[in-house]
Amino acid sequence: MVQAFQVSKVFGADHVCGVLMVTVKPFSFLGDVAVDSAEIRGVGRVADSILVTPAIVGSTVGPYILYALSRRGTAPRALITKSIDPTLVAGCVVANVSLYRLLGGDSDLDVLRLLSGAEACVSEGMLIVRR
Amino acid sequence: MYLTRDEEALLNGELGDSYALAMKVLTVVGDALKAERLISVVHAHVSGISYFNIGDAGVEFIESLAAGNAKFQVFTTANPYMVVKGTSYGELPGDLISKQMRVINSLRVMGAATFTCAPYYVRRPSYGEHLAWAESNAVLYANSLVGARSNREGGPLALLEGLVGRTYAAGVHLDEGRRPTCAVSVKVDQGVKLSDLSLLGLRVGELCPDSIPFVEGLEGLTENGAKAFLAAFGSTSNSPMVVFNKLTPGGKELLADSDFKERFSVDANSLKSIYSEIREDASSEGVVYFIGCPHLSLDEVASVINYVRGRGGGRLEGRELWLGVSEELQLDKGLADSLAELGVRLIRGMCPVTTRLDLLGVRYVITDSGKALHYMPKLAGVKVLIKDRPEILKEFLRR
Repeated sequence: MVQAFQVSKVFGADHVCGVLMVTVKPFSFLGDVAVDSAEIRGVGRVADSILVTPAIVGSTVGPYILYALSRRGTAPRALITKSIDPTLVAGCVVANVSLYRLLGGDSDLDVLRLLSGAEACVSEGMLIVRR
Repeated sequence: MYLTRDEEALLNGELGDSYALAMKVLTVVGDALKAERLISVVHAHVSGISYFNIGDAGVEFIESLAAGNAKFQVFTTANPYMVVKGTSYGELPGDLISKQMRVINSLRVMGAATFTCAPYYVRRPSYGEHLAWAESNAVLYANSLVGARSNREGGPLALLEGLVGRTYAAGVHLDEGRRPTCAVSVKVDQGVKLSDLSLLGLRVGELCPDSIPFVEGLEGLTENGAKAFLAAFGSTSNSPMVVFNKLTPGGKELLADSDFKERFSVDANSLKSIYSEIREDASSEGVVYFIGCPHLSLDEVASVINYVRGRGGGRLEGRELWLGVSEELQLDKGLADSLAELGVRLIRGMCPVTTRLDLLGVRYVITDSGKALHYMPKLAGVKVLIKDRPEILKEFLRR
């Protein structure tokens, strides 16, 4: 089964694939992410993922965490969020992590949550999930 | 985005790689947020300088900028760092201190004036002034209580903006970016405590994680109360601003044509039960009383000192009260010396919240800060209890 969700590119690659990971709640890079294991506490390992989250919240130190993951080769391949803020964009540019905006409503997030763990690609303005 | 000839020269690397990187990040961020141009700022404030938070990658990033001979083009301050010294607890391992010092030295070489999370006490911004600040409590203070304008920049972004003295014309720099879309009506008792305002800030942040709230019901708030509320709010919300009814400069204009997408009511009294699980009794071993997240103003320090001196000490043996302040805070030396005897330590330019206090033997921190409550269990490796400031001082001094 293939499902598609509309996204728009903010920064980075036009085409990127990885394992879909979806957080139910917004999270903070500072505090919620363990750099050594590249894990979001209670969610799982983010390395090479297509990470979808409603928003990144919390401390403005977050970009360095993303930069640290990137330097270690354990950053997500792409971040897809409903809300885009300057902290997040700057972090993605410095860490060279592609960033997309999820254009659909909360219902898209609800569906995506059920698809967590599936193979996903972003291409031509769509997030395509196969399972 | 429109760039001036000078900005294009920076982007093209004519003044070096550090400035070119700064302009690249700024233009991508600006384009993403549909900014039409860059604007000059008068003060940059850098966050993300604690080694525990930024790790080796952050140290190397900041060092690489300084190594390229980059200098801040505007007045620039930075957040407090992780080293805690001058207490009866030991020091962190030497290699950690050494890495932290590399960050501090690089920032000083680039021209950072001082280290504090309350830059508004070092240089108070003016109404309408454009800033590039990255510490969430400071950004919220500037926008919500002064009417200055700063987006909530990431640590590296504010650093890069300080290097080029510019930010992107978007977000709360524009009038339309300052309009609240989340309405919260709060109910508080008269004489509400700072610690309760902190809990209220955490709750309002949870309700409006990504939107500017309009908060009614806190019209009698003092500046210290607002500071406590905002610091806690910034721990659970991404918003750079809170519009307080009748308190926020320019707030009335922002409410014209308001379109609230969400409306909430909060009773501050109901929060005590929600957060009751974090109130537990601390044993006397390894207990630190900590006031100063965000850093205290001179008035706040004076008020605490006067209280402690008036009671003449009598604290439990081994207990310490730490007061977080900027490096610049000027205190009479005699007074400072007497504080040490009373067990009161000024933690200057440092931040216990971003320091692994467990490595120093601290087990419990008792504080009035909702922000410290939110971050310390995760970052400092200690248990945290929140109490009101007078309650903390009384408990510290009890025989």
